[in-house]
Amino acid sequence: MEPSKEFDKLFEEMKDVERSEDAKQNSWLSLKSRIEKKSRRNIFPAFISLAIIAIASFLFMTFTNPSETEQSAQSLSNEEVIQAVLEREYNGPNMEISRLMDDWLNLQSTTKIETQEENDQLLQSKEYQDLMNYYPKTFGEYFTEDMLTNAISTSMVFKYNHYLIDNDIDMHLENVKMAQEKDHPNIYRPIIEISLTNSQGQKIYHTLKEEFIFSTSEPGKIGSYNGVKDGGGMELRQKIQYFNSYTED
Amino acid sequence: MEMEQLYRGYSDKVYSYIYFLVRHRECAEDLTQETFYKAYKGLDTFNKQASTTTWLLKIARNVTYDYFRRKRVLQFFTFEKKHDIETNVLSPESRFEHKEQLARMYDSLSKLKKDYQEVLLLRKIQECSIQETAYILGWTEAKVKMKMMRALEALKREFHKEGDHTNGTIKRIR
Repeated sequence: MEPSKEFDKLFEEMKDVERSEDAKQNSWLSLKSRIEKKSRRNIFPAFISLAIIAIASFLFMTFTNPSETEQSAQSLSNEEVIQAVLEREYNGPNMEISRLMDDWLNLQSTTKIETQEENDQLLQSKEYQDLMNYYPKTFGEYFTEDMLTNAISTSMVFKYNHYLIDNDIDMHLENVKMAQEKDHPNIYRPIIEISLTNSQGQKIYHTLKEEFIFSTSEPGKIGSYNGVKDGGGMELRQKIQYFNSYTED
Repeated sequence: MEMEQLYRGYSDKVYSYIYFLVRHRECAEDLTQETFYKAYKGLDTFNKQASTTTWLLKIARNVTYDYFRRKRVLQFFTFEKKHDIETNVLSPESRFEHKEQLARMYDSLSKLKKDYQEVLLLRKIQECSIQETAYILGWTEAKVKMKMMRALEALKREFHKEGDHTNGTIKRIR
């Protein structure tokens, strides 16, 4: 069968993409607000922004010394596993993952790919392998294999890292209040308190909630790690990006 | 054109395109918003050389690639079988078989070169013409035709490859 015909039915089904009406409306309201704000205020001079980025990059290069704490998850309780994941996710930025990612992106941008075979070869490169090995090294002990794969492809881990780097913000995990579901003991929705500190030492706090579902086939490993609707994840990103707005009275 | 009219008329199309690239609902929603914000800023310079849809999809592609670069996302066309495949209308047997087929399709697509993925997405899923696809990707029409042909051949090879599609699970760590 001709390839173009063979897949038509499957392509047809892939066209159906659901979209929530609420999300669509919220996006419009946010967009409207941004448009109105843009027409009201003056734009921050570009050269000041560039100077801030240059200084931030210099400070990070000079003072950041990443450290890895490798723990064995085998003897850990579910609460300790969650704590370990949160420590990796909410203490940052992590400059090592950023460096590995940059190396991989640089290689991609400087390598000409003409064939599928060349693409497969690129995936065997040291840069890609180093990057791919970093995820299991950091989170592998705490996640099932499927969850780790999923976490990488959906950027569920290190999800605030580039925002922290771009905005010159340090994030620190302050406190975790574990909350286990009464009827479903494999499910935890901890309340996470973190602090954000800018380069001037100003600090703000934020509380959010996430969900961890432990695997039943691999006890002690997280089978599903999710954000919680209205749990505060989006607001945390806003606070990192617009830190100064949250420090003003 | 009024911004609200533009958003109401085209945002579903833009969202669907971005969603295929990022496979994450909140993120697709954010990037759709960003696309329209960029469109608003460039509205005055839109010279109608392309259709409104094509113009917006080109912006959406740039916005999404910028996001990939910033967020350091590795590959698109990731697949979450739990959320993405609704097959409740089928009998259990055909539902299983169907789910497998669709899973295999996503898996095969994810293994193709990025330019093959892109041309298939625009031509077969977004239903763009050769001319529109060429505009969005910045290619010649001849290149779109050639890539499309090769992409379908590569997809066919990948789809029918034996033993590389276990249980519809996508193995992304190689």
